[in-house]
Amino acid sequence: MTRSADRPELLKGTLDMLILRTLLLGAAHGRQIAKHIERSTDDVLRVDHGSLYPALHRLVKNGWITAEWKTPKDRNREFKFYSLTPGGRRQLRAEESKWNQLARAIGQVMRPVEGT
Amino acid sequence: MKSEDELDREIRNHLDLEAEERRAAGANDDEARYAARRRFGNIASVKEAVRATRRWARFDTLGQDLRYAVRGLVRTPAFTLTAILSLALGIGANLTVFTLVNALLLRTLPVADPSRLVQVSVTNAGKTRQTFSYPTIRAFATQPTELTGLCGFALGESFEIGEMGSNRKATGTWMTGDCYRVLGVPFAAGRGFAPEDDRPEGGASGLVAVVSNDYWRRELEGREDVIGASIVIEGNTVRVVGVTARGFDGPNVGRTADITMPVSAMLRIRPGGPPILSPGSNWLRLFARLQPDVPREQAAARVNVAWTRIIDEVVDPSGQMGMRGARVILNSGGTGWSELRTQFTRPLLVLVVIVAMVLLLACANLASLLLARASARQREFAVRLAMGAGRARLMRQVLTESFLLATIGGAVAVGFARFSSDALVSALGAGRSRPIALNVQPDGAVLAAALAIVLTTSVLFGLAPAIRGTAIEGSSVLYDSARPNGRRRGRFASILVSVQTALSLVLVVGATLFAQTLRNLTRVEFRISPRRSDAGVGRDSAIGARHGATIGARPGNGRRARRLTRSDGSERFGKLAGEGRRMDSVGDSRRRSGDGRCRRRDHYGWAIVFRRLRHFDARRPGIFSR
Repeated sequence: MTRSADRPELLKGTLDMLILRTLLLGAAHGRQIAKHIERSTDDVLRVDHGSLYPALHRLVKNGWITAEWKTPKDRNREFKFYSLTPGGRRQLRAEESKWNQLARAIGQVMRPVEGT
Repeated sequence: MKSEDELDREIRNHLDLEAEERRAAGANDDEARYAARRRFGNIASVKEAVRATRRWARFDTLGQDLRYAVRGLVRTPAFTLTAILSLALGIGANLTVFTLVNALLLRTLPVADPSRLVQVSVTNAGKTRQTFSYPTIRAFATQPTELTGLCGFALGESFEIGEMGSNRKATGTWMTGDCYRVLGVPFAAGRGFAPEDDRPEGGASGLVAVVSNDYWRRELEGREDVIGASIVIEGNTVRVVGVTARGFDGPNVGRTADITMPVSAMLRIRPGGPPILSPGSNWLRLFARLQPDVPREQAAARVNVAWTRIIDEVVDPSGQMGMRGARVILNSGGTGWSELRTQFTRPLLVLVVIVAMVLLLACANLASLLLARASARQREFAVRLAMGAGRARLMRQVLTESFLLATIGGAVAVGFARFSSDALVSALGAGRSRPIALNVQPDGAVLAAALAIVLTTSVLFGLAPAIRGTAIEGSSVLYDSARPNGRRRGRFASILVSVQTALSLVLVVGATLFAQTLRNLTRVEFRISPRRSDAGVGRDSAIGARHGATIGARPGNGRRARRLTRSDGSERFGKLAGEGRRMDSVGDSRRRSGDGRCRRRDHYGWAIVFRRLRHFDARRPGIFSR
């Protein structure tokens, strides 16, 4: 496991986007979302799991996701499942294009200097 | 709390799952739990953050905006100081004028239900008269109308207090007996006088007076036993029956009455005076209170019926005065009466426009300053946009800064206006025979106006910079910040500059004109004050010295006339040739001593008028010579 100092910090504002992207695959509860983000970034992007929850609540408040208590088939207790709303899908698309622009812009600045 | 429980459950679930997984990977129970917690982070602060999104999100970000704004302003003290000062001046000027407008035109009398008060006046052949004689009012009061009562009151008086020759003065006025009930004046102690106290043959309990709260504190040392105590007024012993509650200084706005006595007491206080109680002496302004739920128009109809009867019986039984056909009008009287209104309403409104323009100019200046500031901060904005701040949030940030500036400026302005409105009142009153006594303490209306001005101005000067300053192509500025935001900003800035120039020009011209008006106002009062005193109406003077005068003449065309006519206090002098401006006849600068003799100021005033008339004589012999 890499030491936390070596791990890139998550840019502010991108966590929301990552959550929305994750929920695009289907409803999930908090820990599933955390795990999914970790796994799909090969453990590079690691956030405190706790920081997910304020983001989730904020997204609910914005109407981009909804929450529902459900019992999964393999468990005997309820979990709070989050799922994407149509508004959330739109928001995701907007954030994605913004992100792509930014990434491209930064990528252009950071492209390898010729001759080195 | 339900949502709090839910959050607890959610976090517990999370930790349990995490620990479970670690146990499955071979950790022992304690280790697993501890690792799960570490992975989760600070539970308390997570909960705190969730709560923040829930309840106080709005306030929280507002607080954040304010903190940012304060930090940003502190970082640029020169800008901040300039902005606050120019705003304080702009808002202060507006508040000053509003304070006066409020005190003179808007503020209602501090009495019970002032909205039901009406001022009675009569109009006949296009001329309006606001004054009535004492017998008329008494006769009127006996008529069945939809008015609950009538209140006639005089303009100001000056009383000599104490032994004769003591030279201690107090301001005062006369009111008909029913006034205190009709107006609904609140009392701090005692009572108002009643109709029984207002009889020509002498009141039921001798001479009585009501003193104002201010006088009671100032001159009577706020004594508790003031009720029943006696004051010597013009050599007569008068019993104090009441002290009005604070704030009520008589129905004359701008002229406080320390001592108020029943009208009929005048016969004894000023013996040998003119027959002021005769039907022909119109000198009392008349207020009335409408019965509850009776609209003004309906009441006016009934009052007119009564009025026709009174004309025949009391006012003009012989039909010689041409009063037939006169109609009564009821105007809303909640704001009391003021002689100053006819004279100062227009200048004050001009002043309102001027100071509004000063503020607009200040706003334009600030807007361009803020615009420059915003373009200096483009990089900061660009970074914040890139980090995920919404543009709306940035705009709110800029607007918060503007609001903060305006609020501080407004707070300074309130203090500033407190003194400047005093100064303005004394400037307007300069040269008047009697200082204007307007209450300019900031009241609720002034503070509300301050708030409204602050809000409006902060949007006025903050909105454009907020919109323009945050209109940034996020990424472009990051690596190309040298380029300002293009042509549009240039155009907007040049519009601002032209607005500033135009406003400045208008202001210079406007201020010059206004200064002249102001000077004229004070000079007119100084030069020509041959005013009738209210008390002196009844004196039958052929040349109208008692009745005010209209001297009509038009410069340049040789057509001039001298008209000396009866006039009630509200009517104005006509134009005096060469002056070309209005003179108000209501100044009442003249004091009459008890024997009806005029004091010197009077002669002085007339001397000037007659000198002017002689001057006309000299230019056009024969016109005024007899």
